[in-house]
Parts: sequence; structure tokens; C-alpha cells
Amino acid sequence: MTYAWLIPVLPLLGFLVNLLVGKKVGKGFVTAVAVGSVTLSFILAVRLFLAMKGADGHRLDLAYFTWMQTGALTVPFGFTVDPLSGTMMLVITGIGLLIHLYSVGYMHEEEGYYRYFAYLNLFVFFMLTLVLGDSLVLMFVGWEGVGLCSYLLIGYYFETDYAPDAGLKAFLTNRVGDLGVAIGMMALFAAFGTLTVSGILTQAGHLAPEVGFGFLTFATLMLFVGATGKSAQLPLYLWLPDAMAGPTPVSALIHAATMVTSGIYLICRLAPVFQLTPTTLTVVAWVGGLTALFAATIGLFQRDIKKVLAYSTVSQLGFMFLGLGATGFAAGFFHVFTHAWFKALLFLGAGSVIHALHHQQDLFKMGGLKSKTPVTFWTMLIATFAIMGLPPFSGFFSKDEILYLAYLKSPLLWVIGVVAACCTSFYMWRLMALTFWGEPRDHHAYDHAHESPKTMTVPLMVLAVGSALFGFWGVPEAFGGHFAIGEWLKPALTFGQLHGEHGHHAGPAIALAATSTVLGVIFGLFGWFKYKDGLAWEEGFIAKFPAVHRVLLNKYYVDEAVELTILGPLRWFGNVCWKLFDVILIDGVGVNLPAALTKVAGDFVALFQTGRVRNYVFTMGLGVAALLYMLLK
Amino acid sequence: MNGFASGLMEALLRDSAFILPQLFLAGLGTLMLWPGDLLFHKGEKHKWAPVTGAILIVVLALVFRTPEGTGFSGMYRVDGLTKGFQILSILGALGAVALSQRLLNALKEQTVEYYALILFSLSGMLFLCGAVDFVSFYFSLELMAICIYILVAYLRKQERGVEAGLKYFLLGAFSSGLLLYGISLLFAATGGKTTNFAEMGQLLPVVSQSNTLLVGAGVLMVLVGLGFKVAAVPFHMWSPDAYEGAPTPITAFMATAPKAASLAAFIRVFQTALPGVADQWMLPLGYVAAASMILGNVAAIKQQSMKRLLAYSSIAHVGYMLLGVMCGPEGAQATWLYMATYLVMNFGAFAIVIHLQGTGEGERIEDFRGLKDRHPFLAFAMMVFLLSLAGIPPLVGFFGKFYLFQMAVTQGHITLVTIAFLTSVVSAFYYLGVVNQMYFKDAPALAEGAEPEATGMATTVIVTVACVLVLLGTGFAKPLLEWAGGIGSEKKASQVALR
Repeated sequence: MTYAWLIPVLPLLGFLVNLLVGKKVGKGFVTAVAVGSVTLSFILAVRLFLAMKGADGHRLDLAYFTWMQTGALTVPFGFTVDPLSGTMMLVITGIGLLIHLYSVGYMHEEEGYYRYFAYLNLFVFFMLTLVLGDSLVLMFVGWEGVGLCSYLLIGYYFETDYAPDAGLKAFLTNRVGDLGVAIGMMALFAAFGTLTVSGILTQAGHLAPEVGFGFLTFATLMLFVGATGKSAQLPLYLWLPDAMAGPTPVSALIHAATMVTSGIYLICRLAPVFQLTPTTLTVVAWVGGLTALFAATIGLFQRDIKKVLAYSTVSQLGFMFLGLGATGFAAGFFHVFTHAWFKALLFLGAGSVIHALHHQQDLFKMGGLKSKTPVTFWTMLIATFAIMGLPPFSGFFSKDEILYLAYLKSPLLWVIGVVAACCTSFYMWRLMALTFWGEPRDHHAYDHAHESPKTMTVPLMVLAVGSALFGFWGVPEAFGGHFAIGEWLKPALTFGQLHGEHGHHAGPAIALAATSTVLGVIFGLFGWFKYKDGLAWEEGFIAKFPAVHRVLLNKYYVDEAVELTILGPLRWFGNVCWKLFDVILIDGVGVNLPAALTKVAGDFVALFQTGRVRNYVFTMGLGVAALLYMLLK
Repeated sequence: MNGFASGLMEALLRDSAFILPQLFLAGLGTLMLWPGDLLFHKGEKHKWAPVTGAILIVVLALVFRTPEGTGFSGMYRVDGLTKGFQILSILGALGAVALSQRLLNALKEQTVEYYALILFSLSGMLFLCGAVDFVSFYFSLELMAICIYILVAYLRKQERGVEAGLKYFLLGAFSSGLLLYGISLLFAATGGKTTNFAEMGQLLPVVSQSNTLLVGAGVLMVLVGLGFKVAAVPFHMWSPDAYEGAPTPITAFMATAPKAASLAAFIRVFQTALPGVADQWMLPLGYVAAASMILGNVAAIKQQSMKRLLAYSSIAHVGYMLLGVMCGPEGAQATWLYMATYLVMNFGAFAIVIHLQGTGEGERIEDFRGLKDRHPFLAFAMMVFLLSLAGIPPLVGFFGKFYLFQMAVTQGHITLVTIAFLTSVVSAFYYLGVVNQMYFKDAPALAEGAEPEATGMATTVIVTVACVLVLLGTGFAKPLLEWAGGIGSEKKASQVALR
């Protein structure tokens, strides 16, 4: 296992090489370095995965060195490979590799080709650090690192006005979440005296679940705040739709398949601790469920193909949290796994469409592409089946498991989940119908449309196979399976302890699954019928319910509300602080700086007369007075 | 009589081993002024920079070799704390000297006095790091400060520099008055018996019970005086002006070297002389720390000038470091570590600002537009420094913050740590703003055929070294912490010895 450290380090080397020499050497070299490093990393990851599978207790602890050590704090630097991190590692390197390949075709005309691949490699490095890290500190390093790469890649098209701002928004929103992670980390350290994952989990096994709101509940809630930032849940989801300003393969890898699921990963990693805090789990379930519904309704009438998928991602992430909150950690992670395949496929398919139409992202200007881009069409069709939950495609099993657990938690959550799933079916079929069926609405673009090159379509096909088949890894008992993925993840999720996880009763399971599936199909068909011939139905809808449409199209005006209530006041406060101290007190008494400077040139007397130093002293005096007051009171 | 004189002589000779670096600095600094000044012709004054650099490196080596112990009738002490912060001050001076040469050349302002003043000021800092008596403490503080007043106003043809220097001087005099007043109150509280930190540490808790106001007022005045030196809110008013007006290498110097020395003094005063009356200063110091974090970070958002931005950022960082001062002996090493990381990233950032200034691109934030096209490496390094200042892992800035905050949590300063966290989120706002300018905004068009000026040797070396340290420093967390552990444990040892 001595090679394990190479798995993250190879992409890091790829990043360094491409950053330093990428601009001077040709695109061929850049491609070789970037794709080559991820390929090697993937091969090694498979080897490591198999080694872990053969190991005792499905677990490898690779300790490298002691990172920090003083007094109470010891932080080792090492990796943990177990079913949870191992599976995630394969997803990252595997889907990462496919997306690198796809990008070769998608980005081939770009001037910043080397920059793009350098950042993409860096992302793979940080994501692997996050997943494999054996301490919360190392995980946090990865956690922040992926945020940074996300920021750099969202802002990739910096010539546009909105991309850099979108990047900044993503980064800053995530900082708010990271604050939660940092506080949660400190709290866990205070509670357990260690920051290694295994140390925390071992001790957590000896504790009884916490009733009401205790210290652990606080810690886990803070971690969940971090998860809502990274995984775009209410109320910190705002950045993800804007993040679509980045190149489409980035949306597929970072903002659909991997990075945005790290919030779920974090909770799964610490599952035994979350098991102890039912209050937090209830919050997680409700936030997840409401996000799933909220985002799905916004997705109904978006015009930008990537925006639809973005809200769909937010909504699907909500499903995952719903699963976690219903103590179905395995179910939540199962959905992470299946979602990684079909959502990456949807994004890459959308990218292929955008590529074919020369950067057209407006659904209203597409149409009739079925025959022009057959591979894209068929693969996206499979992904659509998967996301709407049509058996036996992968999404069916994972979503069904989540909805079933949600029902056991609270029937109302099940209803919310089913409504969200119906919306999902509808907007997906609206997207498909507007893209591939009907008459082309922009003839010029349509005439020049062509299927994408092999380097793009092959990844699509591979992902389509995954989207179709990987659900069989978790066939629930109700359907004659034994939820293999749950068994597989068990050692990682329970860490040797055996409380939690529901026993399965087949009772309502089949009835529930049938209801949600049938409803999903009905709404899907409805979407397809209404849109396959064009925009008439939507225009009619707008005419009838203009207010509903406007609210949904404008995402419930949340962005505007945030600007008004948070950002505006913050800017104002910054301005006031600056003005108060710099302008009023320093430039004081109506003398502005340049004028004052001219006046005081070499004339010290004049300097005193501006009264500025007096004002400084006045402030200091105030400070002293305030401190004295504190003493006396 | 003769016996007394020879005894004194003997003691002086013995104790001078403790202050060899300072003697070396002051002696060579004086020789530099005369006859050293005759060494180089008028046009060659820039050669003083490498000479000064060499002197500083020798001093650094001397500091490592200085024996540990207390001398000069208990006025000066060499231990881990002294050495740790002395090293930071020297490194700060070294960086400032290295960055000065090119800029002063461009301005035709090379003189030997500039370099000599840095040396004199540094000797004051080295004394300050080891001062364990209010008398030696005050003298060191003034030696350090007076040289800096002059350095701030060094570019005498530039109005804003002169104005800044004068302002700084006037306010400094005011704060010194308060400091002296505070010291005299504390002296009075001991019944006029002692100004020694350790002895005061034993006497004050007793006096405080009967005469709270006298001790409390003294403590507060000392806090104000020291707060002024490190530019903590609300005694920070001088710093944005002084930072902006001073020659930029001096700005970098002020942000690091005197701050390190003043923090050492902060730790000594509050942990040796005043730990017994902690209830008198813990709360006010907490407010000062919190106010520094909040105001520093929030006011930085609106800044247009890079130097002012870094000034406010420095105020904020001082707020974090004061948190370490509040954490007792273990806090000392956390503070040291934070200061060390801050020194590295700060110098990296300043080296880049100075380079841009030297090429006439100026110091406004919008001058950083599209830097990635003109100077890909500088832009990348600047991004690394800024992200590190914002505390993003795995850069050293994160490591310093993480360690400090973790320390503060175990000491129970939960509210302050929460404020620290929140404000560090705010800080990302303005640091990232600069990154946005560099990476996502188009550069102003260069004149036809003009090439971006190549970076000089000093800039390249400093930026590269700093960048590597910031990127990989966290990897050396363990040896660094072990080394810094000496700072805390020495401190403990000294306290044990005093009991």
C-alpha cells in the first residue's frame, strides 16, 4: 500500500507541471499530463480499493507522519480507506477521468486550456484529500481546497461580467458554511479531545444518544451548517445555480458529481456521532426535504438548460440529506453514488448539446435535435429515466430507499419527497422535449448542429451504462434484494457499533414505491406531451398564472432578499466604519485630504490647525475612558 | 570604592554576553554613520543594503548563540520567548532592507542613515523582547519607536510621508505619556518598592485587594500604551496613515518587526507582571481584541489602496494575536506561531506591492487588474499570500489561526473565538476582491511594445521563499510546534523559578 499517497499526489503534480509550463508547451502535452495523471491515479485507486476489500474488516489505515503535536492536540497525517472513502475515491477518480477526457473535446478551442486542466487536476487532488483524510483537520484542508478550485473554475470565463462574481459568491457563501465546520470541529475536539476520525468514532460508540439539545447536538448542527454550504442546501444554496457560469464539464464534475456531495460525505463519515443526536437528524431531514421541494419547483420553468440541471442538483442533494436525516446513511450515500453517474451524464449531455449549438443554452432556442445528436439523445434519455426513478434504472432504487425511510420518519416528509420527485419528472421531460423533440426554434443553429467528437461521446456512453445498471448494487429487500450497498458500507457507517439503522419491514414498501413511481411517470408523460410540440402550453400557462410563473422564474426572489437584508447592510456597515474613522475623524471638520495635504506642505503649523491629530487623540481618549468605565462599573 | 567599581565592571562584562546582538547592532550602526559613510561614494549608497543585510544575518546567528539567563540586576532576560520574538524582529528587518534597495534607488533617496536607523530601531526591539523590568521596558520601547518615527517620514520630499511621520510621533508621544503614567501608578501601588515584572507579579495581587482603583488604572494605562504600539483598536488611528505615508519597505517593517517585539512585551507584562490581577485586564483586553478584529476586517472592505488595506488587515491580525496573549503561557507559543506565519505572508505580499510600485504601476487595488497576464508568478504568489492571510487551509495562515483558536477554545474564550471566526469570514471578502482583480479582470493595456518590468533579485527571492513557506509550511507543523514549544515552556520554567 506504499503507493497510496500517489493517488492524490499525481494530480497535484499534474497541476504543478501544467501551471508552470502549460502555457508554453502545446495542448497535446497539457492533455497528456492532465489526463495521464488522473488515469494513473484511477488505476492505483482501483488497486487500493481491491487491497482494502481483501483487508481485515475492510479497512486500511495509512499513517504517514505526525502532523501537529503539542499538549492536548495530536493530529496525524494519514489516509483511511474503508468502504465509504474507497467507494468515493473510485467515483472521484473514475468520473473525474471521464470528465477529463470529455473536456479534451469540449475545451479544445479555449485559450486557457492549460489553466483549465491545471485547476481541474488540483480539484481532484483536494477532493481526494477531503475523502481520504483520516482527521477532521486534513478533511478540512480538502474541504477548503475544493472550494478554492470551484472558485477558480467558476470564474474561468473571466471575460464575462457575471462569471467572476459568481465565483466570488460561491466562495463567500461557502466561507459561511466553513465557519460552521470549523466551529463544529472545535466542539468535537472539546467533546472528544481528538480530531482523528477513528478517535472520535470510537468514543462516540460508548455514548448514549443525546436527548433534546446538548453539546453534541450543537457540534453536529454546526457541521451540518457547513454541509449546507458545500452541498447547497437551504439557506446557503444560492451559489450553486450561479456556479453554472463555469465550463459545463466543471458543472458535471464539481457541481454535480463530487464536490457538492461532500457535505453528505462528511455526515456519513461521522455517522455514529450523528446517530447520537436525533435532534440534528430531524433538522437534517426537514432541511433536506424542504430543499428538495423548493429547488424542484424553481427548476420547473427555467429557460437555461444548465440552470434547470443546477436546481435539479440542489433538489437531489436535498433528497440525500432527507435520507441521512431519516437515519438512512447508507441510503443517502447510495443516492450520492447513483446521482454522481446520472447527473454527470445529464450535465455532459447538456454540454454536448451546448457544444453542438455553439454555446446556445436557452431551451427555447433548441428543439428537434434527436436525429442530429443521437448519442447525446439516447444517453441523456437513460439519465432521465434514472433521475425520474423509473425501475430498474439506478435512480429508482436509491430514491425509493430514501422515500421509504422518510415515510418511516414522518409521512409528511414522504409526501414532500414525492411531490419533489413529481416536479423532477416534469422538468426533466420538459427539458428533454424542448431539446430533442419538436421543431427547431433556431434554424441557423440547428443547421450547423453536429454530434460531438468521440472523446466526448465515449464518456457519455460509459456514464449511461453506469446510470442504467448501478442501482442493482442496492436492491432493497422489498424487491427481493438485500440492499448490498448497505451491508458493504456498514463497517464504515456504524464503526463497529450496532445501534440505529432500521430493520426493514416489507409492509408498505412496495405500495409506497408503486405510488411514487406511477406519479413520477404520470408527471413525466405530462411534461413530455405538453412540450414535445413547442412552447404553446407554457405560453398558455404564463398567460393564465403570470404571478406563479414570475415567482418561480425569479427563484422566489431570494437573491434580491439577501442583497437587501444582508449584503446591503454589510456594505453599508463597512462604509460607515471606514467613513467614521477615516473620513470624519481623520479628514475631520470638513477638510478633505488632498486639500489638507497641499496646505500642510512643509507647514507644520497648518497641520495642527486641521485638527486631525487632535481628533486622533480624542478617539484614543474615548478608548481610555471606555476602558476606565469598564473598570469602575 | 575601587572594589565597587571593579565589581560593577565585572558584572557588566558578564552580563554583556546577554546583549551581544544589541551591542553589535548599535556599535556597527554608529560606525556606519561615521566613518562608514565615507566608504561609498554618493552614487553608491545603495551598497549599504547588502552590508546591512550581512550585519543582520550575523545578528541572527548571534541571537541563536546567546546564553540564556537574567542579567543587569534583573532588568533583562534571555529565554525562549526572548529569542523567538527577537528572531522574528530580525527577519522583519532583513526583509525590509532587502526590499528597500531597489525602491530607494528609483527615488534617488539612498542614504546611510536609513539603514542605520533600521539597525538602531532593531536593537530597541531586541531589548524590548527581553525586558523584564518596567524601566528597561520603557527605554527599549522608546528606542524602537523614535527611530521608526523618523523612518516613516524618511521620504522628506513627499508630503504625506512627512505628515504621517509627524502624526505618528505626536500620537506616540501621547501614548507614551499614558504608558508612563500607568507605570508610575503601578510603581506607586507596590509602595515604590520595585519596577521588576516578577516582583510586581507577587506584590500587585495583594495591593489590588485593598486598592483596586490604583492598580486597575495603572494596568489600563499600560494596556493603552502597548495597545498603541501594536495598533489595536481603538488606539489604531495612526496606523493606516503611517502605513500609507511611509516608504513601503518601512510599512512592511512596521507591520512585522516592532509588532513582534511589542507582542513579546505584551506577553511579558501581562503574563509576568500582571497575571495576578487578570480580572482587571482580561475583559478590557478582550474588548480591545474583539474591536480590532471587527473594525480591522470591516474597514478593510472599502479600501482602494493596497497599503491601507494591508494596514487594516494588520489591525485585524493583531486582534487575533491578542487572543493568544490572553491564553497564558501556552498562548505565548500560539502568538509566536501566528506572528511567524503573518510575517512570512505579509512580507510576500509587500514584496509584490513594492515591485509594482517600483515599476510605476502604483499601489491601488485596481492596479492589480490582470496581473496574471503581466506577471503570472507574482499573481499566483499574491493569491497564495492573500488566501493565507484569509486563513484558507492548507496554507500556513490557516495553521496559525487554527492553532491559536484551538488554544483559545481550550482556555474558554468561546465568545472571542466566535467573533474571530466570523470576522475571518468577512476578511475573505476583501482578500478575494484583490484576487478577483488579478485573475478575473482585464489588464489595462500596456503601451505599444512595452514589456512588463522584470522582477529584481531581492523581490524574486523573497516572493519565492515566502510562497514556498506559505504553501508547504503546514507540512512542517510538528517541528515548528516543537520549536515554538520552547517559548511556552521556557516561560513556565521562568515562572516556576520565580515562585
